Amino acid sequence: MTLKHTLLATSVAMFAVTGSTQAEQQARYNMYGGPGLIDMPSAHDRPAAELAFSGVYLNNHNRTVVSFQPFERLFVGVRYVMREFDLREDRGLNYDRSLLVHYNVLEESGWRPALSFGMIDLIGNSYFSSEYVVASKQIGERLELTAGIGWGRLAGAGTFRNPLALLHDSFENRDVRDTGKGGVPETGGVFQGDAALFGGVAWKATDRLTLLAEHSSHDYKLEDGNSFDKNSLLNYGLDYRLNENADLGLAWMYGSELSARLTFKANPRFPPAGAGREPAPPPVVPRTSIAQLGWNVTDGATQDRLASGLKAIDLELRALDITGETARVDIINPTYGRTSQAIGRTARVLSATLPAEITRFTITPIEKGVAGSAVTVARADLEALEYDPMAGPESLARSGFAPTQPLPPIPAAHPDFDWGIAPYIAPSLFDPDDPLRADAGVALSASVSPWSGGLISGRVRQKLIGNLDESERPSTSVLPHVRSDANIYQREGTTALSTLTAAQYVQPAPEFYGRVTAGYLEPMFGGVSTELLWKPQDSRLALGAEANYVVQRDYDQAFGFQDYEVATGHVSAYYDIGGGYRGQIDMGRYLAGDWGATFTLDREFENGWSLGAFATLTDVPFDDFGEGSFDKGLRLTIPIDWVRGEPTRDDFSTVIRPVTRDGGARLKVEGRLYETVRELHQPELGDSWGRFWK
Amino acid sequence: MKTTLILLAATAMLSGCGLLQGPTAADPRETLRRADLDAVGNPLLLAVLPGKGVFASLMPLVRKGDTLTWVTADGVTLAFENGVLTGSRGLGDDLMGGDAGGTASAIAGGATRYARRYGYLSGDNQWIALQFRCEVTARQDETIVIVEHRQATRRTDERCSGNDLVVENSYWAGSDGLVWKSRQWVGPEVGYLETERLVR
Repeated sequence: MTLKHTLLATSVAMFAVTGSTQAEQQARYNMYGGPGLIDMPSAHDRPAAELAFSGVYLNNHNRTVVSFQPFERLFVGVRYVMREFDLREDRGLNYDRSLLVHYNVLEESGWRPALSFGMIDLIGNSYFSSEYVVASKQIGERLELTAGIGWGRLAGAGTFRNPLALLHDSFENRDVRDTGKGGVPETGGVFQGDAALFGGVAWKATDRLTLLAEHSSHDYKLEDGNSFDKNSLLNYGLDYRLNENADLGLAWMYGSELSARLTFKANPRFPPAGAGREPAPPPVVPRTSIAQLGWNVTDGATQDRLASGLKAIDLELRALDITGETARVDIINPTYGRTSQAIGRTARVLSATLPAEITRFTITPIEKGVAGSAVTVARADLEALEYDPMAGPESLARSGFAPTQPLPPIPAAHPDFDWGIAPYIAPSLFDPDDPLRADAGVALSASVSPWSGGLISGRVRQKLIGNLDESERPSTSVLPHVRSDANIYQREGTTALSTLTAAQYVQPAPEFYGRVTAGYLEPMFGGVSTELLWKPQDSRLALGAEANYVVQRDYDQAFGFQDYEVATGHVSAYYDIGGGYRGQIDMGRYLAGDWGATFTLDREFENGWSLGAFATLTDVPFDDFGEGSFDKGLRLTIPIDWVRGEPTRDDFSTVIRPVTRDGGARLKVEGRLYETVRELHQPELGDSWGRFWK
Repeated sequence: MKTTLILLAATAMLSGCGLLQGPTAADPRETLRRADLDAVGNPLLLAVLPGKGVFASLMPLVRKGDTLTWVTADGVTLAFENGVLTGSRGLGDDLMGGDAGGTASAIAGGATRYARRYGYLSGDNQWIALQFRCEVTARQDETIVIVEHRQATRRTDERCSGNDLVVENSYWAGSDGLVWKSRQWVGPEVGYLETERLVR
């Protein structure tokens, strides 16, 4: 039993207790989608794990911001500012992307105010390069005062000599950065140059409404008179909480403009449906009751009883073997987002369908013909712990996890057909020409597994609506156009064969997994992909190697190919760091023939949410790569059961790149081994073990 | 109790009992007559979630030692150990498990101060155990009426505090220890549960 699974809750974080002092010490979102007042920052931050999207209207200066508070004290926002300049001769347009990092150094306590610093655009070539140090203090129940000092763009009014220059002369003048193609961290200029003071007040009028006033030090020299008039340094506004997941901001800015903000928030730790609205599992049936039924092991009806019992809870029996007092069962889980829940429900069905002399259940989840951990549960523990107040951690401690390979499947397991039709949405955020593009339509998918580990599957997509194809910007890439022709694919592939592949999965030894996939692997490439993975069932570490030979597909995404072909592949190391973090390094040759490595860090929640960042450095020089210098981005997965509260394994996944270029581009293959196997193994299984009992 | 083992036919079994209801917003006690209940061959429990305004009737599903699990027509289950709620499933933020020993002893006229734990699953699938200190605040004889049936009971009130919460539970038990009526806390999200034993 580990402490992690046993939050002996003195603070009942799970229940989002409202009205506590904790709630009052959160910052509101400001007009730059960061923690703050109106245009200025403040010192508090947001609840850990909160993810938000803010859209802000200000005349000729609109903003779109995606933000995340990865853990307490650290707030990160990606800001996209669309500036229009109403210049005399022609109308100028400028899209600017910048990164905000806000760190809460001291929390408010007693007489001590909260203290934070922030840096805007440490990466990139933004016009918004600036830093701040800010303090906020709550006085009484309703009033909060904020005062701070800003540098760079936040030193635009009432400036004075940088006090840090007392420490060192280098702070006296702000260095001009050589930002090149952007994307590379630049520390030149940070906290340098003249500084200015800002501050403001927040008055919490009601539980929902907060009134705000501030003195802004933001420099709008370029915008003043071109975008909007800056007649005053004072801003007045309000923040109104619409509901748990949305709030609205309104402000009278700089004595001339009305500004409005809408922020949508979600916290992966707090699903809208709580712990889940699924129907109750079947109860654990004690052996004393089963014994009265006169079942015995040689009874041929056992397997049928078990198969229909599993079917009733949307699981599939793949194999059954009874040896002595142990029943070994292989299951397929098409239904439950957490494998631990599928195993727990299987154990309940076993308790109701197996003769009383069976004392141990060994349950193995099977995915694509390969096996995860063999989980052994004593029938006595199942009976004893069903309604125990510590059932989750206790049963994890008492269960056995062992390496295994699949049993030969029962005849009914194959062929296994599956098909589905579902809407899809394909967003493209932060396109240099338009921050929010998206396509939506329907996707028809079908698969058949003719034998163990064999899988033939395909997907056809029909776009119904969207503007991804409106991107006219021709690729200027000097590399092979492996990704930068995406807009042509979108334009010509209104009806697209996204994938059509045949795959074989094998597990030659308990800790070794293999895959061969051939066909139309992804919308832009087809060919052959092979992979080998080493992942012992209880290991945090996994190692993999992948080798592919692929040809670029025609733009219309039918059956034809273009004449670019490439051998690409990687060796990969995956590590479950613990505490909800996962790291991955992939080294090898990318689609454009470039060599390099991708570094990925994911924050993964035990309900399936995951948010990660990646960066790829290859031998393509930054100048050849083009805008952004190298490939990087964020990846996000939202499980659908989190949204709906009903069991499903579906999720919504997207990758957000500031710009998509051809360097460091990796082949997409469905059903890669690590993502297939990881959820069936320790430590991943144990991380959500409480769900065994749900 | 043998019928309760045929879990796979559970739905079919339950629909055979016309009085068993899924959740409704109307209080079935307003229309029920004792004569209807006398015709029921099985025990029947009425459960009310006053915070949500939901009524449902339940039948026994399986007995395991001192724990009896009941089920509604729509598949929500409630488990009671000697009449003390130790678990729910299908209510969303379910009570995943709970102690019953101290409370059961109190209902039987024994313990007056004891510890009690409640187990929950967080939205991030982590186990949360809430610990409470409980004490018996009142014991008195009461005659209650459940759909025309008069029943002499001893009422036991229990007050549990911990985790910045105060929880007050009440149990009305017959002289043989059967809990005829109760008001019990399920959890921070679900709130209280009220039960009445419609058919013994």
